Amino acid sequence: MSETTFMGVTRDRIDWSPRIDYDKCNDCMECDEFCPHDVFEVREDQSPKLIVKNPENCVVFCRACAKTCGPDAITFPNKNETTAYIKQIRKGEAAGG
Amino acid sequence: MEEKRLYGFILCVCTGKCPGFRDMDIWDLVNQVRVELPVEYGFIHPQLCEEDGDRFLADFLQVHRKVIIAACAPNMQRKMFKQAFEDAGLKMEENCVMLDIREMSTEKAFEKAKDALVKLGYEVDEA
Repeated sequence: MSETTFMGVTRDRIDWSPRIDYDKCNDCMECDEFCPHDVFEVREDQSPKLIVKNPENCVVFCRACAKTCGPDAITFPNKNETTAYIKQIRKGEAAGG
Repeated sequence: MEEKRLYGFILCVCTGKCPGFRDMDIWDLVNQVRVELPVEYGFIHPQLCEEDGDRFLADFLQVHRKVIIAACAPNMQRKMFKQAFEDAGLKMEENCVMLDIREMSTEKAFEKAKDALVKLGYEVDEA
């Protein structure tokens, strides 16, 4: 199971990670508790407390943290646009781009 | 005595790219479960929590067969799948056994599935 690619494209070329709306975020940290991949980091003595530390650890098209977020403070890129971009990269690579 | 109706077994693996399943061989696991354990069938779904997963559950739950979902945390599964069960006229707690098998080896995950079936009253071949 190769973890470095998704739909045939290396993970580092795909922009997919949670975006935090700090106006809504209430520091409940449910997202960090759910996500086992260290995408988030909690910094007790800094503001904002919660940051996205490792965006590339996020599983492409997984939005579970957004679904578990009470105040709906987490969003993701548009899935269709991301899919189109992935296909474009793959086509480019196929054509030796 | 009416034979106990078997559960279906869904192994949900978060696109297959989720590091939470890195310590197991998902194919060994699903083959061991569907061949060795008393389940009606066993299969892998890449991402039940996504839109196509919702559409799959809408079809699948029409059969009204109880199901074991081996995937992420039960509280997450409840949040993401409860509506699909309700839409099919089912109570999730009565029709679904939710197992968290992340960060597990194939053997450990298999044991967890086996224990769940034993707890449900199914006979499991210990050999």
